[in-house]
Amino acid sequence: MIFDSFEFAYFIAIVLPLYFLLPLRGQNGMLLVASYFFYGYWDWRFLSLLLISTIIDYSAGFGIARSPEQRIRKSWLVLSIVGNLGILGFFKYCGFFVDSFQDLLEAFGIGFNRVVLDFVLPVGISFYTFQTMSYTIDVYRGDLPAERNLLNFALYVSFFPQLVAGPIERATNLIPQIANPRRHCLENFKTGGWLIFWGLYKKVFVADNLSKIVDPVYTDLGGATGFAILVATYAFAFQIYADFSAYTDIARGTARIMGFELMLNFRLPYFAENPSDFWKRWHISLSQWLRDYLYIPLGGGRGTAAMVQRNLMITMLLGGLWHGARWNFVAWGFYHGLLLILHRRFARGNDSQPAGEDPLHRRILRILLMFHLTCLGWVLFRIERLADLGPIATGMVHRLLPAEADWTSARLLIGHTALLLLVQLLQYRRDNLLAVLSLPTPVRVLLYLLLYFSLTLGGAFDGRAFIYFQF
Amino acid sequence: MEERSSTSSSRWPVAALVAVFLIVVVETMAYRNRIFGLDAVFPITNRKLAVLKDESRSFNVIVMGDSRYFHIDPAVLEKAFGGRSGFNFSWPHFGPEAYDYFLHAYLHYRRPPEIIVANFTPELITTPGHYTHIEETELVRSRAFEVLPTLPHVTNIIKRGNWKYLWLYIKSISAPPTATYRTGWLRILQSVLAGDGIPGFPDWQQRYIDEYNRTESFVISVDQQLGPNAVAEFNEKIFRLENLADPNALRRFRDFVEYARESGIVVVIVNTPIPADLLAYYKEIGVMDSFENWLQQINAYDNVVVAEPVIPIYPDELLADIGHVNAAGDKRFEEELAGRIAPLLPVIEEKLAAMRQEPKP
Repeated sequence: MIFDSFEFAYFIAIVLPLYFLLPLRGQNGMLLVASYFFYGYWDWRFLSLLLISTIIDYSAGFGIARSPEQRIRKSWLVLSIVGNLGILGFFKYCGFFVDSFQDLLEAFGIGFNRVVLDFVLPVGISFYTFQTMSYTIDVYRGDLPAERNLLNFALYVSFFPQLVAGPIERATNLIPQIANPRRHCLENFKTGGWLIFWGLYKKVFVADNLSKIVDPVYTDLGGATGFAILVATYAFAFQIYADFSAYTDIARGTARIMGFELMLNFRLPYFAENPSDFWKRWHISLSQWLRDYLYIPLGGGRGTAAMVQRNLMITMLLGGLWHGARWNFVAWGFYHGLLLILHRRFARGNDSQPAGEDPLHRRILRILLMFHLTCLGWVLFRIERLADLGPIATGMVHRLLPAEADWTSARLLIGHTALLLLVQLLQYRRDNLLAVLSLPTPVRVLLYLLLYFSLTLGGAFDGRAFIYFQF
Repeated sequence: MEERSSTSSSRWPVAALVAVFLIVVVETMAYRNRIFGLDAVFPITNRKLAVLKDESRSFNVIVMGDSRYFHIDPAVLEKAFGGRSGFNFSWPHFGPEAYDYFLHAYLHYRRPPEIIVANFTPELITTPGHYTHIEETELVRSRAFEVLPTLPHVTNIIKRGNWKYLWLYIKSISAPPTATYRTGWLRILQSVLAGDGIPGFPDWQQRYIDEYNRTESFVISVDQQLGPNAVAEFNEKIFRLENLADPNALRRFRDFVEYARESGIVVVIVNTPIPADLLAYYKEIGVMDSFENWLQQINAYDNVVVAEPVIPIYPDELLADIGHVNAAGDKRFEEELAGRIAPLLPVIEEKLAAMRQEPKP
């Protein structure tokens, strides 16, 4: 079930009234059933994975909490990690590693019959396995008491607003909210409603329309001009941001209406001034997860420069691989790892100066530079295989000048991102992601009407799934 | 970067409420004037619905079929069927799956006619369902939702137990009218922004409306003539006909005939003309042998009569495309209709009399 569908609209129209009618235990029970229905609507067979992940981590958390012996505690932790990574590895990476190994054997001239493994990738598997793993690790570290209530824990794993594309919630944030009565107020409806509305606009009007510019170019790179590739890459930068942040907004808005506060996942990432700043603004829940459960355990910023660089690179490579079992994602992770290392190496001194004290033009230049570096990374992210870089380079060098149709794409890009950029500029200037809600009433009415009629008259209602569902 | 809502928790979301009110107003207007956001098919189908609901008129013979029947003038029907008053109740682009729905809608408003003129051609049965079937094709479905009166349509869907289709119907009526009819609204918006005011229908569509208002029928393409290779091109690009019946189509057509029988109606199969090339193609792929069999199945019902020739062949200059006559073809069809029906009239009367004598369930 996707957020911008009638199915979800009817689903939520049933869930919300039920939710407000029920007492706390009933609310949690109903939300659990609703979450399983939400996930099972896509493919009921994969509910078993959700269940297995829940049982493994519930048992592991419980086992760790009960056992005073370090060895047994560690065994439970290993069970959780092996269980979760086993599920993830089997469905997501098995085919990739087998293929890569076979490629390697072929490269050495070793003949054999190729084996093709092609599993259906369960939606959101990377999100909920990471989420449940973090719980067990937190319990093991003593940062969190084990959750004894299986219902609460199962809901933590499967909570439908963020189940398939995050934010990857920490148990420390979500479980207490599940266990305790939620506070309901009009403010939640106002801000939650805005987040849902804004998310729908970003998904249906911006992202899905931009995909019509991006997809034709990236599926026929050999025939595209350099200008078209450039426009498509800018379009993809906004498409992926609008798509993913739309999911987060709708997830957070839906949860907020029910009194839950999910973590921020995006803070205007294209206003980042350097690579480190970018990762504090883009997919925050993943970058924090990687920081806390991978980068810091590897040694983090401690040790020699080479060790820190190694830690950064390993984290970013695995972060890239998290997105999908393809070499282009690994390359994307490598690229961002390299940016972080270079930034740490050459620009560290500048970070000590508060950004607000810099002259505006320098900040704008830094933002523009970082945006273009990010776009370069999106090329690696969007291509299907690394060999696609060849036609891109050829197009940029030998066919740079635009064809007639490319101007139409450029106009469409501007038309579909103008309002998004204006709103973001307002959010940036006021340092407030809800800045729209503090605009004068007549301006807000106009904005709401503009957003609504852009959606109905110009939205792409073709049921396109969110990009991050595949991760 | 934080999230700070400056509106206090005690204040109502005034801007949102005002916006919702204005949206409801605009959507209501968009729905009430939706006909301007559509093509000429819809003013005509709306007019047909108005005729259907007009209690001052009565009909004894109605035409049910797709766009190939648009051209049949009720006055010509009346003449051919011994003075019975006629009504052209044909709809665009619907396969046999829809006949049952349309008959149900008709009978919701009026007493049963004595005769239904319907088509039963090879392509009606062999065209892939995703091209014409009301329950499978979005275009056809959206037209059905627009032109079929809600109550009889929904009643029939529930009666059929077609829950998937019911869900699609609910989704369709839930969509905001500015989204559903946006093609037309955008056309109007563009014209207004360009300073050209509210545009009317294009001339060729306006002709349909005028002609329909005058005769309750219209010819789609007046002067167009069938070109060489038209059959091959049409088949290749659109139908991809095979010598294979869509079992669903055949079953639905039988349901329709049975439903007509229950209602005491005789179904007269009066097929519209096709070009010789198409018949040759049917023969080449063996579809005519199958068609004989399908026709026998339908003809076995005692309320069915088939007009000869079963598949009339017209020269290319009388056809606009492989399924539609042009003005000259229409003229010839109308001239021939009485001759095709006359030998059947005694049989039709006999069948009607026999059905009248049967005890009603």
